Amino acid sequence: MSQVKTLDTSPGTFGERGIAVPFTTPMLSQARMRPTRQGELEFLLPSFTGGKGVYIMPWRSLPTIMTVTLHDRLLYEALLDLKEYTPDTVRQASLTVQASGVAGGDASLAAEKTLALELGYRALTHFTLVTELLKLARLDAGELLATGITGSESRRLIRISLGQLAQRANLPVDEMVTRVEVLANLMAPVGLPQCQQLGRLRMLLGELDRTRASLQRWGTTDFSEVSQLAAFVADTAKAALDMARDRLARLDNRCRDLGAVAGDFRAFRAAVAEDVTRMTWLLDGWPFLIRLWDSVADRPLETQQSTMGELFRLAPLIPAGEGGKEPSAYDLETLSKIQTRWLRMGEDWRTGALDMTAVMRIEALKATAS
Amino acid sequence: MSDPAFSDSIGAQWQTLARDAIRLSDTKFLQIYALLEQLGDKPGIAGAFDAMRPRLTQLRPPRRPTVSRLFFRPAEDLFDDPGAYTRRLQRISRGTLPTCWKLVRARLDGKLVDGVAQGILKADPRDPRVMAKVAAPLWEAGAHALVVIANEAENNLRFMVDNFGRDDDVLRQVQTLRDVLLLGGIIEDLKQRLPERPIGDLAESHADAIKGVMAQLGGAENPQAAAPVLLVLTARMLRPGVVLKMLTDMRVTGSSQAERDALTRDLSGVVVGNLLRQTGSIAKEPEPGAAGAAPLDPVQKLGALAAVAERLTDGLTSVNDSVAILRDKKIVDRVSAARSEIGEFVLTTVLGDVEKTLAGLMYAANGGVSTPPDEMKRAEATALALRRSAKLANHLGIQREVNAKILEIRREIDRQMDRMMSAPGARGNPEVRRQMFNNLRLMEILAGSDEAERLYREWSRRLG
Repeated sequence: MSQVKTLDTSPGTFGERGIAVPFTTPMLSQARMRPTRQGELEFLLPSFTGGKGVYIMPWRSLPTIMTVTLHDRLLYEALLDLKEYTPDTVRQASLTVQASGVAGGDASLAAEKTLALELGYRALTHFTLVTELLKLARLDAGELLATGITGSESRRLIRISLGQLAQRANLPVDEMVTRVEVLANLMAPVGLPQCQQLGRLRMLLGELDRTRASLQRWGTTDFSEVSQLAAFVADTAKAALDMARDRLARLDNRCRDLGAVAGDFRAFRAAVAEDVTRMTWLLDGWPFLIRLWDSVADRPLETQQSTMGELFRLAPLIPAGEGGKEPSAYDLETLSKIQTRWLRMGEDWRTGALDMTAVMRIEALKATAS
Repeated sequence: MSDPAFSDSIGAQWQTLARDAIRLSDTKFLQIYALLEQLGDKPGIAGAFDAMRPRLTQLRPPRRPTVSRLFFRPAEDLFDDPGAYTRRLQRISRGTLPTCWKLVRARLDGKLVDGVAQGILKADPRDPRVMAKVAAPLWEAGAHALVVIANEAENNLRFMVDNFGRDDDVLRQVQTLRDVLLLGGIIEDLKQRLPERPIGDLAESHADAIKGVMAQLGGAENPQAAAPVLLVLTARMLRPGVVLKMLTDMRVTGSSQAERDALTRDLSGVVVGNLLRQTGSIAKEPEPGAAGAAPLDPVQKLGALAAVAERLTDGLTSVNDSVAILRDKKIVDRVSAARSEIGEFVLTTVLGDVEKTLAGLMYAANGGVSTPPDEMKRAEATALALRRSAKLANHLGIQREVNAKILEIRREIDRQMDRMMSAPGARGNPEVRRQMFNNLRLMEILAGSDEAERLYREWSRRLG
């Protein structure tokens, strides 16, 4: 598999669609990655020549087409080390590489901050989970709440509390500790509904809704053909939002009855994992597009129009096999033609040579949030 | 207020005040600017703005639209400061504008001006489409007023001398302004449909928009009708040769072909002349700390100068075909001389002490191992300026000099890395690793990603 292929049919599943990778090489930016049956990684680049279809290429073919940044080379190596490929594991690998400083100081600081916040949020989820379980078992959580989330005293009290819970549930203490840890780790990207501070994916839903509304508004005030692209991207965002919200409602419902932690935990864990994983797939790729659109909020109309072409190119259409619309529901051919007409030849991602200014624009987007 | 002596005295006072304001902090300076803006078109204010302009160019405060500013908007890409203005290039000196506006204003219907002023107050000044709607009647009436003014100046020497002096060139400027304003609405609409200036590459939709306007104005029968639009357009383009090529490729019929060719020749002459004019003035950039200009950050200046050199080189390269069309050996020689001039400019201003600037930013004693983030950003900007120059080196015949500079910087980075990695405790020190990536950033900008990767492997191996 050393040659570039094209994919003319739309992917049927999330796995076939691949995971958006935050590369900094303009041509590779947000390329989708998926493992092959042989265990290699291949990358899907939507219509980077402005033509139809999706280019599929293994990593080793890329140098013949473009110069790849050092950041992307190191990220690729980090991806190879992953044992499992999900939007979350790819995101973690990407943040770790970004934190090294290879994508610049600002991006590095942003990644460090994000990693630290997420570590803190995981601890908060764990803590909330324990206090909720104590409430459920009508045990006193006062001392634990007074101690706070971090520190050795808190850890000691959590263990004592989980010991009490384990006793009630006739479970070994270690089993209860493990279950709570597993559930906290699973839920951390979303956050528990009982937690006042929102988890990352919950916040992302809000941001996506804001972006969808902004795109829709923009589409009604732009009188060029590009408004059709805006309508498409807003529609794609809405589909992802509706499905992700549905999942979140199910997940929240599940988590309101935490008794399952002490009961059939295997089934409960599988159901929670399925909901959370599905949310990460549904929202995969959107954080970059949200930041990209935000970055042109105060720019002239033409800049917004050409950015809309980029949003259209990268919009993560939900595969039909995962509940999305059939691609035939959209006039993709017409939309692609519009996108091509609004792309500037020889600029940014369309040039094989590495344009460091364009690379730095992508790095700047990485620095705004992770 | 009609006493000219009194007006002159007021003007001088405003100018003195403006010059004093230049010495103030940015915040205070901008406050004074905002207050002056609110005064509108009062006698002497224009002189004050002239005195403040160099600093305003740097600070770029948001400008409140006024009727006069809106009036001139379609032609603003053609404006030059009086000191930089060159004749016969279809440019307009900013020095001509106050008189023009005074005369036009006197001939405009008061109701129309008031209506536009009201429209400005009601409209969102950030929405150029709305502002264009507001200004449309003003451009039309103003262009007609300019015709009357030009006629009067031509036939009434007293009027001419009183208002414009004895130099006929002002009439050419008035004519250019009138031609552009007559198509003000079309020009402003086209600007909104094209990328921000300086316009780099065009998408198919952009090319279609330009062709659409050309067809709308005169098409194959009368290509000359689009000349003012093309004049503004070439002034906004990074590579104006692209527009000239569109004109050359335009299908025309019969006698229109001669008209099209004449237009191409005229426009090519203007475009090439403008590029040469700008090339001639690049070496005369205001020195840091010069009167009126706040001291420029050396790194910002380096980046700005490299960008200017790139723009001019790109511009000159894009008009190669057009220069050939002109069949004028003098211009060919001047273009060739201009390239040498830009090359010399890059060598002295951009490349000059770039290695020392970089070393100062990266390795000056800072109390820690790694370069502080702000200094690192400046170092990256410096390296980018050098890379920009490297891209031009072939066109400008300075490849050897640029390569030598890059090599020197690479050696310094190697030396610094070697010293840092050899120091006790370097292995496992996160600061050392951070600085390794800082150095890799510079290497990637200057020598490319392959070289950066090679060094990453080598340095990582040594750091364990």
